[in-house]
Amino acid sequence: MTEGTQGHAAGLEVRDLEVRFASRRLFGGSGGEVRAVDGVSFHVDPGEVFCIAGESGCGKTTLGRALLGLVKVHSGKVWISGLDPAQLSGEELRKFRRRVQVVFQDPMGSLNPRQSVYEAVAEGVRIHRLQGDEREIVARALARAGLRPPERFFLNYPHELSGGQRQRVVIAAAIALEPQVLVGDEPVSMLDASVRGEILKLLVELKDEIGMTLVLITHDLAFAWALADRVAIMYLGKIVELGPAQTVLTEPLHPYTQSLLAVSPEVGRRRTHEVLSGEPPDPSHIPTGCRFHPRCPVLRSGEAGSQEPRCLGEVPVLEEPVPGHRAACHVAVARGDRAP
Amino acid sequence: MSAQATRSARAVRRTRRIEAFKASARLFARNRMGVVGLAILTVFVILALFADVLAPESRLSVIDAPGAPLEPPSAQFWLGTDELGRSVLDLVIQGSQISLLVGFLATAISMLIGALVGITAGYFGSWTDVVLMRLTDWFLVIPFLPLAIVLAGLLGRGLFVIAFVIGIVTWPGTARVVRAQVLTLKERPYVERARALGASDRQIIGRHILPNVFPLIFANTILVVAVAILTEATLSFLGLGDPFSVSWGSILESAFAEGAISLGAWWYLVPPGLCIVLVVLGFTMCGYAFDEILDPRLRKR
Amino acid sequence: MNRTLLEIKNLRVSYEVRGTKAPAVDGVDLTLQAGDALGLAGESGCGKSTLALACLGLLPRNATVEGSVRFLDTEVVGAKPGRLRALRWAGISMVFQGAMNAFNPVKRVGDQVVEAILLHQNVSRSEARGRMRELFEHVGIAPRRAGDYPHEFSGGMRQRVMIAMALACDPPLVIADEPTTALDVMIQAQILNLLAQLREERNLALLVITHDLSVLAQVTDRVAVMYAGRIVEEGFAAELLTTPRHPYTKSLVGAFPVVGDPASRGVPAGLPGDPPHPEARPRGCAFHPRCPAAFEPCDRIDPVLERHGSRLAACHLVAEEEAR
Repeated sequence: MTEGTQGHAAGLEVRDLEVRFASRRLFGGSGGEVRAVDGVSFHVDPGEVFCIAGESGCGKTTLGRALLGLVKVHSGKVWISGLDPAQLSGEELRKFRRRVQVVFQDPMGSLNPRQSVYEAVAEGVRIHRLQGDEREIVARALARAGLRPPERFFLNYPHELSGGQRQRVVIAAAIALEPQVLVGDEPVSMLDASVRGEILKLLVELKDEIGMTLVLITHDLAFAWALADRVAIMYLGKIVELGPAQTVLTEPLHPYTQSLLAVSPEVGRRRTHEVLSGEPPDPSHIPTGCRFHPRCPVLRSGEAGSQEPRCLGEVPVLEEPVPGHRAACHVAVARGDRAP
Repeated sequence: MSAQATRSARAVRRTRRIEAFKASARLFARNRMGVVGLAILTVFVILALFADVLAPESRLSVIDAPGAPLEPPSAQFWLGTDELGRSVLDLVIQGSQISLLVGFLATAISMLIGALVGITAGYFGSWTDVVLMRLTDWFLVIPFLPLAIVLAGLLGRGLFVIAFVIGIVTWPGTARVVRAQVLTLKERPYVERARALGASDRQIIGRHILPNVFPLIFANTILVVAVAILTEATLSFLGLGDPFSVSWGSILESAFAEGAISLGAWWYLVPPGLCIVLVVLGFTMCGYAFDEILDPRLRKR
Repeated sequence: MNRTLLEIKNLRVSYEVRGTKAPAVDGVDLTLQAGDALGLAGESGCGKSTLALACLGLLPRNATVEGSVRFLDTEVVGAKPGRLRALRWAGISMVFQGAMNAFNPVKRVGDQVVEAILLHQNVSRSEARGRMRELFEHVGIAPRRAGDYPHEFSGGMRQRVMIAMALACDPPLVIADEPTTALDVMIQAQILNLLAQLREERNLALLVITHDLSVLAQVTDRVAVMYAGRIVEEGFAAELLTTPRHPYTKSLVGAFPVVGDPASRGVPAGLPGDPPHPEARPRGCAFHPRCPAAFEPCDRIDPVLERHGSRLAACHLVAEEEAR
């Protein structure tokens, strides 16, 4: 990280966060409430690249929204640079927003089709009444995001740009505010493969240049492998494994992480593997005990042994069987070392 | 560079807005339909403004009519005469005043209330939405004529009452349609992103919701104009307006009452109906051009 | 046993856009035999979806088609509607992109599949229903769920129903356009397993079109990479994906990091710029403006697809390497 930006990036802390939605179903569901995020705690160091990975329905998107203060929190706390968005309102909340910016998944949907590129980037500048010449700020942000010469793009409309260019406009709009934290919700999954690398490279470069902390949400473990310093694996609203990307993805402790890695397709070789049975997790029907237990291969194969009753009845907590590497699994914790 | 930097942001914004307006005007001028539509509307507006000069009241006197009853078109009376011997052309020109005035006014009232209610209900949701939608339903269900009569009784007769009544009755349709559109727009990622940027509700509504909802409102406007003009005739006929004033709708009513169809007096029926159609057409054509200005995707290179 | 099912020769498809003709597919040759699984890789705008539509005669009216697409003994290009209809679904069927959203939300899923069967086969409704239940079982869906509505199915299940529909008339060839995009990794694995299983059971030939190379690695034997309407590299899947020769293929492969491989740590290499618009094809090699290895002839001479052993590549660099 470059010198002058050391102090700029902000750290995050999340404690016992819970986000609930009213269930839309007329029949069934657990008491008419869906626990999208069900007790999540972690911290992110300033300047880190932190990945939150999991399948759809695991709550990662909702968690991202909670970090941005875009969704109502049921209980628990979020601290970014010492501030909790849930406690702020009005002008203070606006000032907070400047520090935490977002890049969404859909580049086309993220831009108002009736707004020119200039307007899209200038919007944030105007809202926060940034000092300096607006035109200059917009041009600099666009250039930094890789759209050069920036003036050429001022009057373009989103439909005239490619997917990669649109995403760059979104990034420009975010960095114009010089945020301390950038949350990326599947920032490249809708882009062409050959364009992804460029956008990711941009994000990492900007992270160092401006001094930001990157929180990246993804369903793609390969993405986490390439970019993350640390990664958190989520399942049905909880973090089931947390630690340095290199260790979590090569020596996973939690059976769910192991299964995910086993099925992730790889360019290099063809896998013949056991696929997890059953449908993806349904947040309105959360199993008792360890919420992964109905699909857990370790439990099924009988290797859980003495831990089996706990798996069925007791909710596992994130513990640290290996220093720096946490997992919420009775079997893994009991073993205290690499799981099978 | 430094000279530019000293220009205040406001001045820059103003110049940009003027430039944007000029660019829009240029775009509009390039759109043939829009120009034709605007021309049509301009013609009628001029007719309405100069109606007293072109078709003086004196010639429309009920007692002292200049011609024979129900004469077909001739050199003297280009559009023939009505059952009292008045020139239909004069009637149509005079009628434009009230028809257009009431039509535009009623539409404006309807659009304003409808858009306001629709956007507020759609955007803020929860209790605001529930209350406003029940209100909308209530107005939808109210029988039109009794309401008109009651309001006329309370507020007196006249043009503005009619316009007000029509506006009050037609806004629920717009409100529902606008609300539906706003509900979809609210979920778009760019609205969420605007919120993440720190935009207030007012800024989001003004910058993102309104521009994307406006074409829908405008499309509705066109429909309401026609309804307003015709409804005005009904109300005038019922005595809620000035029974001696002339409007296109009232001409149509008289024509029907006199049996113009069976008598074959087409010159009595066609002109007022045609005028209504042309005004609506003018609006529609302008609407196309506006849509092109507002939605950059529709612009032809 | 291995008869040639599909033979595409010098296919050229152009769209009429604002008065100019833009070639979406610009001279493609492909062969597919019974039981083969061929992957067609490329990004948006490379022409792969157009190619798929051309095989079924489903191109829009403003498309001009030249060349030949031969399925068994039927020439698809210029075929009469009657012949095309006989060919579609019974000869070649297709699982479309975004198929998950292609259901009629107010009709039961089972009914929609039955409808598809009745459209193409001369059977009674009860026979069609029986066939539908068979198909559901085949793709791993409980037949009793035929009475459900699409919104009650998950994305993965809907995709399986789409596959079932595609198999309704027992075609020897199925074209799958982005079959696993937008599906979770677990479901993706299930679908890919299903495709592999069906291939084995029915000697089904597959043409899988996707930008996701990792998917192709799982389910295809051969892979052809398309760029700007042409095939730039073709070969055996395992070889091509581990040792790509064409610089474009190399960058595509590089865009998919491999978990556990320390070399994959760090930002995956990307390509500057964007794939060219069909209307604005660069001179010489279409890829040269973005190619990290572009050299002297690349901006003048358009490379031809040449055979180098089991690999086909259209690249001056590869040609030069081979010559040495």
